[in-house]
Amino acid sequence: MTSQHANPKPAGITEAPVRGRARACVTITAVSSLAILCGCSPYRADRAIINDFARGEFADARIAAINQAQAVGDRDRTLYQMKALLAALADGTPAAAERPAREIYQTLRTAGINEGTTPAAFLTTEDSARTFKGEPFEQAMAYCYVGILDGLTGDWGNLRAGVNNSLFTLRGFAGVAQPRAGSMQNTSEGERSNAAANDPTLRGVPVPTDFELGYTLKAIAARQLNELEEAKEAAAQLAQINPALQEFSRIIVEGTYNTVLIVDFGTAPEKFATGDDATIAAYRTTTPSTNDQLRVLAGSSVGEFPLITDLNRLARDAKWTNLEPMRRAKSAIGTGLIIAGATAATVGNNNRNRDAQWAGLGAIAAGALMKATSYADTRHVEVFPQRVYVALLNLPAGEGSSMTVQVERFPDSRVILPPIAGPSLPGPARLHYLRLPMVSTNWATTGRWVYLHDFVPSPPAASIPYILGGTCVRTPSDSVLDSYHRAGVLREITSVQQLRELYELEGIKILQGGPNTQPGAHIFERGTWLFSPLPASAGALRLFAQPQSAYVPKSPRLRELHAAYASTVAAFNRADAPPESAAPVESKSNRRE
Amino acid sequence: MIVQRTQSFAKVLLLTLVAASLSACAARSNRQPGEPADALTGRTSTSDSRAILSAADQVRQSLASSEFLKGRTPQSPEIQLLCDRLENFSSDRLSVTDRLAAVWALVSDDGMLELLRERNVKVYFAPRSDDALGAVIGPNWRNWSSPQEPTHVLSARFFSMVRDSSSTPGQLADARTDDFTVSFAIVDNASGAQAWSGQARYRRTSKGLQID
Repeated sequence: MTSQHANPKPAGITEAPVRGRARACVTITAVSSLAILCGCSPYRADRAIINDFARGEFADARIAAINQAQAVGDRDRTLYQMKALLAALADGTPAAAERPAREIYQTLRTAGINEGTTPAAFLTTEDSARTFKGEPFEQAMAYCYVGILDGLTGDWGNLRAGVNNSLFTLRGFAGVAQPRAGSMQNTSEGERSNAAANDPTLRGVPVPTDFELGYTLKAIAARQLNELEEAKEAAAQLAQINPALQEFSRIIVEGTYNTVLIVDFGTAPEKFATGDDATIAAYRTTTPSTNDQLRVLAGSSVGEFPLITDLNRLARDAKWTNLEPMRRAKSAIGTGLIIAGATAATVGNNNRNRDAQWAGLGAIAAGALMKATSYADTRHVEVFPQRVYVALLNLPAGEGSSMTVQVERFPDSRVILPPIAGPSLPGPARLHYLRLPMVSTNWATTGRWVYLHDFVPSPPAASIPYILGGTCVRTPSDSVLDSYHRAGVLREITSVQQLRELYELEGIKILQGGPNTQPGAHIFERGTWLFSPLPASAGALRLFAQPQSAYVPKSPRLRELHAAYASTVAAFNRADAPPESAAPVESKSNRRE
Repeated sequence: MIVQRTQSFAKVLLLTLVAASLSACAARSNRQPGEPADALTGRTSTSDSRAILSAADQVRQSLASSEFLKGRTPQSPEIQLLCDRLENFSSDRLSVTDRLAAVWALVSDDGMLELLRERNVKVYFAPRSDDALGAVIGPNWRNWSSPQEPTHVLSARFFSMVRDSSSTPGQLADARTDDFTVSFAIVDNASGAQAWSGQARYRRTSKGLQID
């Protein structure tokens, strides 16, 4: 008699390999899930750098950001370079800003950089697949800051080119302000389609930008280049998008100013993930929006300047992301897998079917992974300001004029700049950039230079270098060496090169500039660099407007010179001492780059 | 049935997830910053000296036939030509290095060097550009840098006209064309009179969404 089944197999041998393969599948799924999850996690705002910015400790911030930019991969590098650029500008060190600016501009201007990344973003996470360029308002701000860097060096042409790139068209549904605030979260596709049928701005059509800062800087730059028609056009566009700036626009075109002061204040809104499985990117306010004007007291003149751009407003109007529907679909698929997997596992359990149980567990794991990786990309530049002001001033040349700058009802924002001189020759205006602190500091309101640096107008004829016990931290030059000789010191040093060599013996690097220079911390802040931040910057105030530790010589050569000139230096300092000179504090021996 | 379908789907998804996990955080976009997308795409953030080279011929021919160099020989009194005042009026940010690189590509062209030698013209770059000059020219940059008072000054102004277009009507622009014009002028340093002017033109195109 033939068995009903041909070649019957012994019981047990059929089941074991299948069960083993099912276990292997689940194991591999679990390991893969772990690999993906461990390698990728949502971006969280860097509280340390936010605090550095609030306290005006921009050197710490730029060094940290530069180090992070060098450590991260290509996809995140631009994020940290933007932070480094902002910190370097606020610190008044354009040399440190040039390289980040160049690389940011290169990335922003490269078209299609995230083309073809949607499948990868679907399979992994959005922030691991896409190169960070920032939300449109972040890109626009970054272009402006690249332009401001050029403006600080007097290059109005490059400033104009930079800010011109910030005035790109937006997607029409950028006008739908509420999605980020949550009111669109529960809106169905059908409801949005109906709304779009009635309002063209909701159909994703290109619409002109309303970026006030871009138009402002474009108008100013064009005016400095004597491109009057372009200046008028940009000023008119500015007045159109914000009628409150009409008078300000008129002054831009008139050109009756020789100094432009760009002032940043506050902290940008924070981006976070919300909604089901955190698929929706939203912003929460850090510094609230107000209508306070910027008050500038220069000499006997007082000016009040309106708010130009509020980043809280821009963040609320942030354009609809392409990947948001994809993230929601991924989350929904994940939910479906979990439900199906749970069902299969339950059925398998009831029928004592191990294969079904393993399949169910695998589906649950896969579904959980999809849901866990469908979170929104929360990368953002947390150190952008909340608001930007632009002050148009007429400063006297020569000795210059001290300036008090403050956002009206924010007393901790008050900064007193020691005398800043206007341009000495007729020609384009001079640009300054100032990031106001958020908390009260010692150095922000002294109003005078304790140390003699490269940008002091009308420096004294005689001075003594800081490394010898004096207060001069200027970059070595013939005139600087001459001033030391006039003070009766360093007569044996007869050339600038010899003076530079003395600094080298101390391990001090002198900032020369150049496209790839990246200075570290100043010698006043436990660093090894000698440079002078721009005079209207928080960096200059923090370094030179408050007493610092006395310098401790390291090399035998300098120790000899200290001993040789001790009495000369003491006599000079007594004669030159300002009324509230501070006794040297204990020197900090720890050095850092 | 549910068990079998779930099992099949889970296997397919498993394979997909394994592939994804291998490239999870190394997933890269197709384009790197600065990398052209295709033969017609150029990076617009820095000067492309190769594009300038193709325009160098135009300038060389204009100079060779100009009154400024007419009749000059290697024995003529040396003209010390200082390259200075390189101004950007274009819609693209051009760093000092970018502008120097563009002018350097022009003056270091073999044909141009030959012309300058034949007419006894020595070219220098302004001393304040030394740091950027080193980055452009290399270790021999000092040979091109001189604080001496020049006889003539070469200035250059960069202009551009930008055209955006969209491959899909009514949608955001995903293609851009920049037509650059570089206007050169040589001025007699003593009299201030313009001795020569010329232009070079080149075009760059790029494809893809800028704001993405």
